[in-house]
Amino acid sequence: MDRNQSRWQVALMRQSLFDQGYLDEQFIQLEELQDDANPNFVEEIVTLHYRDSSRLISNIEQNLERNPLDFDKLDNIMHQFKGSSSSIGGKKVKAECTLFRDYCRAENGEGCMKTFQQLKKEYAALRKKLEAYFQLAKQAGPTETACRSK
Amino acid sequence: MAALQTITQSSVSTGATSYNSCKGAASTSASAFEKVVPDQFPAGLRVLVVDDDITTLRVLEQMSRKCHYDVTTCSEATVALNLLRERKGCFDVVLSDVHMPDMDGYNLLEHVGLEMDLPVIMMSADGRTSAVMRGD
Repeated sequence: MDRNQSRWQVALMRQSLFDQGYLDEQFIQLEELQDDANPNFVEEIVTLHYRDSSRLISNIEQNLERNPLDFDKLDNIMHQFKGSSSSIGGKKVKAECTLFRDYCRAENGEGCMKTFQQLKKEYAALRKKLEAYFQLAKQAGPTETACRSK
Repeated sequence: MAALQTITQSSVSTGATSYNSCKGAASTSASAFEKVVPDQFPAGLRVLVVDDDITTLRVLEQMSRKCHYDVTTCSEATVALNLLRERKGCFDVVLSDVHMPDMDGYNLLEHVGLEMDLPVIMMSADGRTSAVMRGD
């Protein structure tokens, strides 16, 4: 595939992530932080996030099996997960985190469990999209870093 | 989470003039009674960033570097406090997360305020006003 076509594909894919609500403004902030000294910064941050996420999701799962549920603890863990998701701009995941925390505060166990299932789906979907995006971006070769009019 | 005791120090030397010399240069053209406020980022500002979330910490580190700050990162509040005690006068400002496992951010704020009289900027993903007002 010709170079320009590849880059066009990457740009389209990137735009769709925003249009479909997977990513928000924070992702652009990450792109703006990427430079020659840190050429893979965005991917580095996303990878760090995956590492944190695995641990936090596992933690929540364990805590959702307890009886009775410790809503404070669940809220606490979810706060961390929300923070981590926010730092990569994971818009849909972040929304599920907020919902989960609302259910914690309302001490609604069923609500928590349902939301958590949805959260995991969103997280998996985002992860899949981002992996495909980074893969394609690598194949297309280096492009100009994101910039926006000031 | 495994205790991560990494303290990384990065100092960015740039061609930019330092904060103090900018101030000096600007004041020569201003009246002696006017307060001179530099209109650029204070390059070389010595920042200590404290956050248990490694992802956030890395982002803040990079943001600080982009501002040409002299940034040190720390993932544990207790380690950060010891660092501040050992290196008194080596930092200009502390950026701290509110929710940390080993020490509450407000606790750190209290210690730093009492012992070192350094400005501390609190950060949180928690948008509730009540959380912010606690810092008062």
